[in-house]
This record gives sequence, structure tokens and C-alpha cells, in this order.
Amino acid sequence: MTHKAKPSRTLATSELARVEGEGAMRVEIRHGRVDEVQLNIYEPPRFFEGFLRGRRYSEPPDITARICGICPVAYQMSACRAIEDALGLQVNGQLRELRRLLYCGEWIESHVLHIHFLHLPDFFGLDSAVDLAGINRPAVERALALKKIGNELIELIGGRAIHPINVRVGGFYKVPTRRELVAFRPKLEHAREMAAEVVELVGGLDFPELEVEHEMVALRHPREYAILDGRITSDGGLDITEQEYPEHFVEEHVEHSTALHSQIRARGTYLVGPLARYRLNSDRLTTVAADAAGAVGLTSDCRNPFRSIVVRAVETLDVIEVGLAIVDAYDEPDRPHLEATIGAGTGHGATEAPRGLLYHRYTLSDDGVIADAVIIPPTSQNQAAIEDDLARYVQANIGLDDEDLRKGAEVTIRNHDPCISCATHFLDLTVVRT
Amino acid sequence: MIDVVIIGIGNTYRSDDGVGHAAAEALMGMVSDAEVLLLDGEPTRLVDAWAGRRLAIVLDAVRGGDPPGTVYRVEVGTDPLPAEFPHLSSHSAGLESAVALGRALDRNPGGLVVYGIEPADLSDGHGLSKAVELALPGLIHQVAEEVRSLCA
Repeated sequence: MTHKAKPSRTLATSELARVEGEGAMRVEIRHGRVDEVQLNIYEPPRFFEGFLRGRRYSEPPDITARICGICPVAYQMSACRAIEDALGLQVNGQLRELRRLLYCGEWIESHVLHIHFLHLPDFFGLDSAVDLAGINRPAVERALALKKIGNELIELIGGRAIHPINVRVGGFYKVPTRRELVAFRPKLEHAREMAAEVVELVGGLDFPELEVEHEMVALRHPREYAILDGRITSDGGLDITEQEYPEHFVEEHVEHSTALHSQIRARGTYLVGPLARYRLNSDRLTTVAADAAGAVGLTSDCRNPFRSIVVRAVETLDVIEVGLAIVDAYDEPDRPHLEATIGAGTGHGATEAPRGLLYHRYTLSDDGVIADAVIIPPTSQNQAAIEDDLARYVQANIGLDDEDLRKGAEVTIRNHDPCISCATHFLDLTVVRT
Repeated sequence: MIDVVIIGIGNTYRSDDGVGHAAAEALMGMVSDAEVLLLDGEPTRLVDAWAGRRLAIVLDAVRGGDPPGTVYRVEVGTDPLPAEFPHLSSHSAGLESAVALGRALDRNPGGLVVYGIEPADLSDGHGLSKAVELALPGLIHQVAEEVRSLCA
């Protein structure tokens, strides 16, 4: 959606209105103390939950892919895994490897976008990647080249980059040949070189001191740096299956906000995303990624959200290395997908979207029609943690004027990589001081 | 590389915001001289899509205050950045970001034309409003004619 204002022919896009709801923050300060912070950065996909009810079990992978232009694969993977759970279908072997490879493409694309076009300009006090290109054009050129390889990988496996059309319950409509994947290898090798340079670049930044205390939640897999599946774990001792998610997570009111927030039952605010993944899974990184992380001093006890830019860079390098291994071991599966036996049931699926845990739940009736759908994206799970960080930020900087406060608040939000449109310069800040 | 690209942008689950995709899909079978792409409006993808092209035509829902269904055509010069574009600090995502990024990296097309339809409804939902649906054939015809006259 584009705005054209009269009388001059001015164009201004309203990306916020298009995808993710309004970017508005309201702060109430009473007697010099932050009383309430309310942030509207993400519209949970309630429309899609309603839209899915009454549709066939086969439809969510295509429909939910439309929720986010940046992470359609995440929505497809969580949807597929939840429906397969409901139908008692296990997708393993090379089909699972292809799903991981597809997901690697999305992580490359999404992480490179966030690192360079949203987060990095903040570290140089710049407004945008356009300004960044003015002082470090090679870094922006490299980012576009790297992002494009992620894009091409999604096209290769998913059939299309924006809303992949080749994904279905049980696997894929069509699988690539071994020759096609091997032909892609040089691009991944080039991507690996570029990603290593990105780790060096962001590892050398100056990071403001900030430690967050939220409980950190991420998937954990026995062998892999979990993306596609695993147990839901936390640094507070949580260790559950996807099926147990509803017993442990709940939407509640929190102290400084009027919006409902996702909470760990009886424990409170938590954080999903790169910091949580790295904290819980750094021992599962490939050697290449672990060495690169070590070289820039990224340790697994990192709780500084500014450093999430380094984690994203390390994760980008890691998924490229994982992608290379999948390509090398690829053996074209006999069938592009497994057939499901339709029946009634409830299924749960959690995967690691680039910005954190993405949980889907579907209840099917015995004819395969969706009776209920629940989608809990990472940004809504992080809402309470982000508001908490904002409340602390505003309290610590209460003397700043509203414009400086808005800029600082935007940086605080960007650290957590909420969905794309919200992560840019977006915030409509209202400060009420009484 | 085909040197004209038609790019439909928008979100088909936001009612009339799907008009860019609807128009582009219709044009796929009508114009053989242009590549037709469906994108979501993310700036780096726009830059990748139009870099090196003689002409890029972008199709989108455009809010200009005229009655729903009104078709707009705006020629956007690309170098220097047109004064009518708002400064990037207020809108980093979207078309103007893409133009600015393309300019910074010398990746803008030779010409950029934005076609749009004034939307009636941008709420969550699948499908176009009556007013936009009625205006769509006119938009498609106009774009097809422009491409044909250019490539004749």
C-alpha cells in the first residue's frame, strides 16, 4: 500500500499498515517514574486463525506463509509439523533435510536483512542502510549478495522466494535433483566467505552495556543447533515437548501494560530469538561458526540484546555450513512427500523462526477439516520482554526530550528484531507526564 | 534480461492491498515483452528486481484521497531522488527506501512508473472490494498499452 498525498504527488508507503499493525508506543510517567508502557508493534495473526477454521488440513502451509513476507518458511514449517503431529505423520530422512535446507535459506535472508538494513545503522548513529552505504558501500553490497543467495536457496527448494509454493503437509510437491543441489554449492561456498566477513565486522562493534534478565526459551535438539524441531527448553530449567506448550505458556496481563502478554505459567516474562538460542545451543554450532564466535569473543552467557547482531551473524555462518553439509549428503528421496491418513486429532508444531520460537496448533475433525487453529509468533511472545526493556530504558533516560526518547526506544525494540516493518523508523510515541 | 519489469506489490490478505498482485497476475498472460513479478514491497527485493532494467512498472494500492477505484499513474525519476519523496528517516520500508537504496548503489532502473488504485478497504480479508474490482480491467489495459507502445 502506498500513500499519495495531494496536491503534490507525494508517495509514502505505509508498510506498517500493510502487514504488522501499528507501530505505536505510549509511555505514562507519573512523578518521574515510568508507570505504564504500552507498545503496539505486532498484530497477532488472529485473522488467519479464524480464516483457517473450516478449511482443509492441507491449506495452512500456503495460507500462513502469507502472514509474513520475511519468514514464510517458518510459518510453513510450523504449520506442516503441527498438522503432521495431528495426523501421526513423521517426516524424516532426506525430506527433513530438505526442509532444514529451505529453512537455512530463510535464516540467511532474514538475518542478513536485519543485521545490515535495520540493526547496523544504529551502531553508527545512522538513519538507514542508505546512509550506511555512504560510509561502507562494500558492506551493503555484500549484504545484498548474501541475501540474494538465501533468496535463491528458498527458490531452489521452495519453488518461489516470497511465498514458497512447493511445501506441503508430508514434504514437498517436487524435490530437487542431486545435480541441482550440487550446482548450488559454489554459491553457498561464496556465502560462507561473506558470512565470515560479516561476523568479523559486527564482532568489532562497540556495544552499549545492557543485560536483560528474562528467562530465555528456545528449541533444543540432541545434535543440531535446533531450527526445525526439538524440545522447548529454557535457561530456567524448562524442558518440554511441543505438545506440552499450552500447559506451560499462557497469555496474561503484566504489570506495566494493558495488553495481554505471553508468559511462562507462574514464572513470567521470557525471551525467544537469537540470544536465547545461542545461550541454550552454542554447543551445537558447527566448528566453523563456533570458531568465528570465539574469535570475536561471543560467549554463551551473553545477555546483552545489542550483541544479538553478532549472534545473528554467527547463526548465518552456521546455517550456511549446515546447508553445505546437507547438499553434500543429499540423496534424492524416492517420494517427494509422505501420504497422510486423515483423521481427527490435535497437533502441535514449534520451529525456530529467524526471530524466535513460532508455535502452531491445529485441531482437525475426522474429515480433515480444521476445527481450531492457534498461531503464536515470536514477536508476540517477546512483547512483554520488549516492553520491560523499554520501561527500563525510559526510566534510565527520563530526562531526554520526546524525540530523543523515541530514537532510543526504537533502538531498544530493534535489538529484538520484531517483524520487518516494525523494526524500521516507525514509532509513534506518546509520552504522558503527570 | 528482459529490460522491462512489471512488479505487483502488496498483501493479498489485506483486501484491496492485493490489487497490485491481482493486476500483475492478469498481465502475466498479456505482455510478452516484460517480466512480471509478485513481491511484498521489501526494499532490497525491489532493488534486486529492477536493477539494470530500462523500465520498471510498480503496481500497488495507492492512497491519494480520490474515490475508491481511481487509477493513478506517477512517473518517478530516480536520479537525483525526487523532491516529492519524503525523507527516509520517516519511512525506511517500502518503495521510497528501495529508490534511495538503488540510487546509493547505482541499481535503479532507467525509468520507474508507479500505477495504483485507490483502495476502499484495507482490513484483514481475502478479495478485492467492488470499486477496485471494477477499476482493475482499466488499470490492466493501461499498463499493457504502455508496455506495448514502449516495446513496439
